[in-house]
Amino acid sequence: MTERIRYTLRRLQKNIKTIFGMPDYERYLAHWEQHHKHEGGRPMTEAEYYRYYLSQRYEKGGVTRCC
Amino acid sequence: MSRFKRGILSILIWTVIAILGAAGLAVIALHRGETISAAWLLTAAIGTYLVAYRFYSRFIATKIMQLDDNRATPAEVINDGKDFVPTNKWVVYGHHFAAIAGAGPLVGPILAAQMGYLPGTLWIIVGAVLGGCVQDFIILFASMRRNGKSLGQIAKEEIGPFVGVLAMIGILSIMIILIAVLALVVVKALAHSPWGTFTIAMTIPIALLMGVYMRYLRPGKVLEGSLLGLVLLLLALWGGRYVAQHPALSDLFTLSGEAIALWMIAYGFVASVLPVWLLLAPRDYLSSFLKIGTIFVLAGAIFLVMPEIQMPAITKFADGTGPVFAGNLFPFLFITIACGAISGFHSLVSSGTTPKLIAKESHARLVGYGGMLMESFVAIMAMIAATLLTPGIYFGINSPAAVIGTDVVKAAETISSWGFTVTPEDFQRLSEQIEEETVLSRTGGAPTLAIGMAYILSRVFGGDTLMAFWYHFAILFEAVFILTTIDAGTRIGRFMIQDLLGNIWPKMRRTDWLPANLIASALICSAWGYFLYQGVTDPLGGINTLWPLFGIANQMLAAIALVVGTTIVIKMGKTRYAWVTLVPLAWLSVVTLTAGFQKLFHSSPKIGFLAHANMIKESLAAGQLPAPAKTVEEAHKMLMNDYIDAAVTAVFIVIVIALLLAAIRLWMNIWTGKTKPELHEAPYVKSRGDLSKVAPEAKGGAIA
Repeated sequence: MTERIRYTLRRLQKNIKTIFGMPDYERYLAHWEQHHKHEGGRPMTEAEYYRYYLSQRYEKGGVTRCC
Repeated sequence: MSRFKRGILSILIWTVIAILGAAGLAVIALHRGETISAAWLLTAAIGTYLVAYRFYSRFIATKIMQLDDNRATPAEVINDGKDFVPTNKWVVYGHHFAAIAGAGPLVGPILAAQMGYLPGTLWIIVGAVLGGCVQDFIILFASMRRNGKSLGQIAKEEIGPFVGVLAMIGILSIMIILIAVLALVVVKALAHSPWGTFTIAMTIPIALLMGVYMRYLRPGKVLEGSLLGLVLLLLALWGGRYVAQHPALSDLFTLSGEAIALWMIAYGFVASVLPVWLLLAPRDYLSSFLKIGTIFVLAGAIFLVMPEIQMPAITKFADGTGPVFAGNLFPFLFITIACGAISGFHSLVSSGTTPKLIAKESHARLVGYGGMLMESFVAIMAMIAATLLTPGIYFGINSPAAVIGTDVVKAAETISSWGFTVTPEDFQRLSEQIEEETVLSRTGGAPTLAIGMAYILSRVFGGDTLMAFWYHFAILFEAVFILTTIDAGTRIGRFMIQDLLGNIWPKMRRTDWLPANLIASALICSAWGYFLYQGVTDPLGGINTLWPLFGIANQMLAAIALVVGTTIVIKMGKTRYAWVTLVPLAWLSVVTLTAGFQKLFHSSPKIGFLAHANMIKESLAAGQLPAPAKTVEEAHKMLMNDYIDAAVTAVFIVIVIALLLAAIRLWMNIWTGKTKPELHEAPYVKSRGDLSKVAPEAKGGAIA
């Protein structure tokens, strides 16, 4: 039961992050494990990923907030 | 249940929904009593939305686009774990709605309410299902088939580089006007309001604190940071009341419109120069939560309260003599309400982050068409909030001081003489209830919406004692996401300018080079700052001039999007269905061009910029000063403003005409076989299934 609640909460957090375009470190880690692990090296830390994500998303003016 | 029975049931249900929607439309159109329940507006809107979604969007999806779930979307093909992520369709819906919802659908309907609730409501409903939703849907589809390319790139590839350049100029100019007019809405709401000004000012240190928290204290913990920010924001709202009551503090935060405008320009510049993690991103999170949360709360409260609409269906101001904005119902109603019915700006979102998240092609229907339906519903809520006020109060808030004066007795007299009975005590009581100095001439739409919202929300939570709190909450809600639009818009504008200047001096393109950053930021801020300051000092309130310009710009962008959409429909060999985009395109072209020409050449100085300029020149030549100007310099400045506004309008007209000519030429060439219809879609890749359904961590419940 608690397992289920925890799972639902995590799903909720994930969804909120996607809806508002926030960085999702776990999604990045999962992606890295699957696609980049074989290249060697280490994944970014949570702090590094945060900075990287924000600069990618906002730095070039990519976020359009509508009227 | 057998298939046959299900079919019968479905026909029955949809017949009932269609009848309800039609009944709602009939009642709001034919009702001529004292008041009418908001329930009828909601029935008309929701009934029409459901029928349009079920039948019209399906028609577009199957007959024109032929959405194909066997074809992999960019999210599946590229799947980079960052921008391109196959996502559950309801989550994408939320993402899209959060990005398109803004102040536009809240302000437009409030201004349009001066003509009565009916014209605006009909345009919001019909314009959305036949125009706005179609535009958002088709651009989303086009971008999704092209690996998430932007509107400008699609226009360039499918029509030609010339239209690509037009789109670029169009986007930059709409950005400038948009920021100016939205900033003006905030200035109008905050001028001489210490409670509001304090609360909004506090959002800046709160955002900075969130930025530091999410970067250094708890790196990457965005939800924690946002929660912290929201709590602090509510504290600031609570504290605002004490600031307003404290004599010294209240003086500090009682600012004139001009002062707030200058602060906002400075803020825009700083926000564009500072690193994004410090101010822009935290503000974006804060405002997104506040926006979506408040929209839901408001919708719930409206359904609970079901207020009575006090405004007549059609007022005498449908003839264009109203105090809120000048100009006849046609074309100006359709310019005033842009967002909520059709908004060109949405095409930038539909070809931005949204197409990169879609897991299956068929989801585009819910996200593109359905997302805009929700936006249209927000506009209906704004219309309800404005029209539940008695017309006398509505006109008191929305008429410029030049028309009704600054004294409650005089204002009540003037407005009553228009046939909308109101007493000075009514104004007095309302301003005491919301704890503001005055409610007269609080133009711009935000105060009206805030009072309407406070009325509805206080009926659900707290009664009269919380009225002032809800009023300032509503102001905070609008101001916060308008400021976010200003941040984000200024930054986008800055990069566009850097890109443009980069053609002459390549080093300007470098975003990490500080001088380029500073120059481009200063340029974009002075561009919108000019229009903002002009609006603030305008004796008629500025909204009068700027809002139509914004409407024309937004509808012009929608015309660009619909030209792109039509071209794609024709190139796909679906010319017989091209009316789907051609009908709204034709309507928008007629509306924008008529409105544009009237703004330029109309003989009434209230409408035509050039007529207004002539009036000033004539009175100067006669040795007099034109109405509000106190010096000759001021009069010359007014003249200059008129010429600049006229020039901007002329640019919009030229863009629309050039765009239509270029498009028609291309369509004729395809029709006669001169040009081969070549689509620039990304290559077909077979889909491996709906990847949004198999999240990696869902398997085996491995939760770290």
